[in-house]
Amino acid sequence: MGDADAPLAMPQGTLDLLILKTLAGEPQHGWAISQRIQLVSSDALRVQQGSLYPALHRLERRGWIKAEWGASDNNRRAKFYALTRKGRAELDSQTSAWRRLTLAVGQVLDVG
Amino acid sequence: MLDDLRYRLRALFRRAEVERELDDELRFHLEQHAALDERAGVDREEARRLARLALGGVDLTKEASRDVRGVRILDVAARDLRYAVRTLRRSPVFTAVAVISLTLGIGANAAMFQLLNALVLRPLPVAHPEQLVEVGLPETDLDKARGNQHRYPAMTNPQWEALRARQEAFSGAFAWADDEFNLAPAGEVRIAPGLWVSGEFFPVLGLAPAAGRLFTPADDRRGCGLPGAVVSYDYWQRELQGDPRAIGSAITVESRTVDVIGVAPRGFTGVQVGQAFDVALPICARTAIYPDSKILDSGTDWWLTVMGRLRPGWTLARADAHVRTLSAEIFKTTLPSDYPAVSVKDYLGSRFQASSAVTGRSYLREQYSSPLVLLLAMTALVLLIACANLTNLMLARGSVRARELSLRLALGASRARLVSQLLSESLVIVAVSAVAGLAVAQGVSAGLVRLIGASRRPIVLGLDPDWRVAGFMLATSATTCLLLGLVPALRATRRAPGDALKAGTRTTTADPGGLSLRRILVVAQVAVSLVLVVGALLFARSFQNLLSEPLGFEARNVLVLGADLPPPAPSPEATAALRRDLRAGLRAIPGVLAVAETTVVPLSGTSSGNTIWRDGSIREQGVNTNLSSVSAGYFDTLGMRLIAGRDISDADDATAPKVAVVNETFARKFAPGGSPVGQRFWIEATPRRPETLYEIVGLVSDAKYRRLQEDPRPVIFLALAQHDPSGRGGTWLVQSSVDGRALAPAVRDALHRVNPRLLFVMRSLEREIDDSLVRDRAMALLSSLFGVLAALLAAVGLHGVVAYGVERRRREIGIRLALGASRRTIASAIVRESGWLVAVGLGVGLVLSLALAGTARTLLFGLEPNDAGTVTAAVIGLAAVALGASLIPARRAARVDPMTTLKDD
Repeated sequence: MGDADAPLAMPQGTLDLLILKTLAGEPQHGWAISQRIQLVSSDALRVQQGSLYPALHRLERRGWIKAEWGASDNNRRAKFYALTRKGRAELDSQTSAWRRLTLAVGQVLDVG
Repeated sequence: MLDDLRYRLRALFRRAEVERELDDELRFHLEQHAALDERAGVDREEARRLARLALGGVDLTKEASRDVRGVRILDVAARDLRYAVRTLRRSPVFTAVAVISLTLGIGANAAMFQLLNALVLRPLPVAHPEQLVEVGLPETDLDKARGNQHRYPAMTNPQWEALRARQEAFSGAFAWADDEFNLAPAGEVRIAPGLWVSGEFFPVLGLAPAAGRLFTPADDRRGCGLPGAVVSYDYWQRELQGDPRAIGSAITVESRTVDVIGVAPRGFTGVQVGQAFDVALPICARTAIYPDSKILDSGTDWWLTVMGRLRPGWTLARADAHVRTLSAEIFKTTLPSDYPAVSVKDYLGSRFQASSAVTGRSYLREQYSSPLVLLLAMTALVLLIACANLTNLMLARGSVRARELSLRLALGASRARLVSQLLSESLVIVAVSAVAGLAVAQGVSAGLVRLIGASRRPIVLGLDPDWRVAGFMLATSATTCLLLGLVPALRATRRAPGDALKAGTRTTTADPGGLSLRRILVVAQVAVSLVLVVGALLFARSFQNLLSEPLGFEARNVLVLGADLPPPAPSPEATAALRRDLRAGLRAIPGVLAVAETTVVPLSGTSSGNTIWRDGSIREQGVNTNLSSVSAGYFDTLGMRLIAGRDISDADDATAPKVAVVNETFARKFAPGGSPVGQRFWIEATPRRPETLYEIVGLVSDAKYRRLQEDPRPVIFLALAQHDPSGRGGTWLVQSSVDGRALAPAVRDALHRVNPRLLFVMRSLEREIDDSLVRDRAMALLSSLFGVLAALLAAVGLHGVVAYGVERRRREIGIRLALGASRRTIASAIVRESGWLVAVGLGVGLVLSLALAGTARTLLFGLEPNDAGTVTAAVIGLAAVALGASLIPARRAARVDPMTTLKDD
């Protein structure tokens, strides 16, 4: 088996869910989102920074998040992303889908 | 969905802004990341490097982000187009040549198509035109119909009324007839196109008034008097200044005062394509305008066109069957009591038929649709030749850029990408040319309409582009683009990557295939232009034949004068007096040499005829012969030669024995070998005249009667005073020693002195004959233009290929010259080579021309489509032009300086 401490490779589509969850609180810019995901997941999940921005833009195109330019903590111009109503609904449905999936997979693994 | 679209649109149209934002966003990320590491004590440069590394490459991230935008294909296309524009800008001469030649080519095609569309394809501008159906007699029945056929085809008013009462196929049916109305209150006539319409005309067409109201069936009742006039939108704007208060005001129509009750909707010019109307009157008003007219009850005046709108659920076939079934009853009830007995059986056996009227009816269409199709084919061929030239240029550019393309292929560019990039160039060229071409087409088609519009009846065609024109433009442009770009693009990217690199700067061995393809193109160009040159010569010679066709009379300085008193008609005695006074008044004008009256102005397109048979034989042996009623001095006025006997004289009046003068063709048929003078014949009865016996008193030389194109036909001239004594006036021919225009003021004065109430119209006979040749003139002019253009384009193409060949062989030529070949030998070798191309092209073109020339047969006069002299002249002419074009590069080849050429390497 692999190294228990190595960051996990993320399953397809998970990044979207994590971004949505991260934005559930307040609007954040890209850098903050990547930092926050890493922080909250105790470094277990490493977000490929290169894939973060295309993912953000994809979510924006779908209308789940919207972007706005604002000032960062150190007073620099930054692009802030916020969850839209559509995005919030999507977060809820994806979260419950994820829960059901992990539960089901867990059950199968436990039986084994 | 909407968010998505908005996002993509922004990505597409605000690309720069979106890109800048992406830059800013990523820069911010990198700065934050670097700052983090810097605070941890990492060196600044190193921190930046680490940040970029963590992001996984700025450009890759950007690309991934661009992919997400979902406008990738368009993005690439936009980039290709920008690249193409840049490339084209670098070769302005090529671009200008390409755009100008394609603009003209596409413009000419678009112009022809627009005309064809307006005349043939476009449905009438009314609601559901596809439901409109015309009801009329087939040609076979009409040819046997007796009486006055005012228009063709048509039916009589009693027939229309019977049909209207009985038909069930249509939710509504209407009748109409076009006419010319004089709108001037007095004096010189002002002719305006007019319409007689039944009350159902506007309602069934589903038209709403632009102002006032339109006629309804309630307006069109027998004995309606003058219920008013409906004017066209154009007339309202032009003559009444678009004033709403004009409704209720009076205008003069045929010397009667009529109230304007309404204005037809904008864009509606009647159901006759090519001819607009100014004023429409209800059919019932005919008796109010012409009190003597019995046309509403006449069973022998064929003047109305009948159309209907199909009842829901009825097909054309069912309507056709229905009107056929009705016919027997209708023809039985409407049989006129005075109908010539021999023709009664034909009348009763006639059957109406129904045909689609979706595009209305058009005399212009019958005349011009086949010339237009032919002209469109010509412009298409010209465009094809122009395309071949540009393909040639593109091929040449392709071989110049061979190195660049090879390099890019070697560096991993896919062939599809390169082809699409090269195609973008032709796309840009064609798109610009198509837009410019459409603009050119507007001017050209409007100019052509003016060219073919005779002075008397202007042609009105709706030429604004519609979806058909748009589709045609799109198809033409796409085809042009592919013709232009695809072959050169495929060829330029075909060679293995690196090939051109290996060949180095000298391309003596590369691209032999390119040259052979270009030779094939030149052969095709020569072949196609021969077809066009043959066409041009055919039409030019046909027109020349028409111009030099002897008329048989002298039209120069002859004024045609129509003069009438307003209705009602005066007594026969008063008419006779008017005629006498008129002739005397006209004769008294200084410069006037001769004056005569006639019922048929030669070559005006009108004719008259009846069945005649020799005295002593029977009516059944009679033949239909053209008639013309003339006054004394007619032959003199037109310079026709009296061969035997005497002219019609003033003594041949109503009380004298009936006399006739016949022409030579008649004499040859009627009295072969002998003189016709003294012989007698009968003319069949008409509703106005009983069967009458005439004696031939004179023989006159042949002259054209109805059309310039006709063969000599038998014509009988009758004494006007005996044959057509009544009426409100007539038509005079005035021969003078001066031009008609100079005579006009004196004629006006003379007419005013004779009777101030006279209405009159003047035109020049020469001009009128000229106008009748307008179609032939247009064909000769346009086909000559296209022929010259085709020959020039082919010459340019040939010159290009030969010059290119010389350029490629410069070194070889240099060596041969250095080895002692004479310059003459070199030049003649070059010319010989292009001579082969031209010969093959001419051979193919000859076969094509002979195969295609037949399509022009009906439009030619005085020569056959495969006229040997014409074809030979075309071949020689084109060969001369082509060889001339190849002489230029051949001479350049002969001037090659061996020293410089050899030193170059």
